[in-house]
Amino acid sequence: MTEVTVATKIGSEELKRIDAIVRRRGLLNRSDLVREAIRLYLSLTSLETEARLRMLRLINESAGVSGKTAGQLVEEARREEDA
Amino acid sequence: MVKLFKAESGSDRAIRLVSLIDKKSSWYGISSRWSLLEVARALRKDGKTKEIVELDLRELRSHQIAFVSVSDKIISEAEKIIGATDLYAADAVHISTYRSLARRSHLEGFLCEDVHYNRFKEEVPVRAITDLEFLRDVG
Repeated sequence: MTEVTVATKIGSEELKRIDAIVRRRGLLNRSDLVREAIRLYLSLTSLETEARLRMLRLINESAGVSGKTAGQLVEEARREEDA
Repeated sequence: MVKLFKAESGSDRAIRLVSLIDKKSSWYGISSRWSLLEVARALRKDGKTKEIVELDLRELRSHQIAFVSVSDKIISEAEKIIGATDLYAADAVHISTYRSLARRSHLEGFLCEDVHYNRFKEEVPVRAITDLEFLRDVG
């Protein structure tokens, strides 16, 4: 397997979060976390559409919900834009 | 489109529809780029983080659904629609987008949720998602 190095810029806030996750999850270092994140993203994006959308919906549902339906949210936004 | 990211009634149907559009090579969808802004706004109102909103929008752009620009022609037509109806500005943009592309892109109907059917039925050939034969068995 050929290995390459990919460099990227990360904000200081994200770096703090990365370091916290590295400690909490017992990862070797930041690179280990990045490799794991890449594998996870590649797995997610390689799923069939239906499975991927269901996974994304789960992620969305665990990331804060207002209790309003999609229809209500869109209607509210449209009313605000019109006002 | 927001239904794709919300676990609620009709969400499974929306997911199946997008999945079918991707699977069937002769199927495609067209929407306005304005839809992406509406989805982003709705997701923010729902409490989603910037990262989740970006992830969702990237997902939306990855299907056989084209998001067309809001051209001057579309805006002009939307202005006329707003002047003659009680529709929201966004509704008018969507109707105008459909009208400008329907013939050239061989569009078979204007898909929307059944609750919005009456709002659009005088303007465009509305197809309620719940009425689509191939989605009847999906919740």
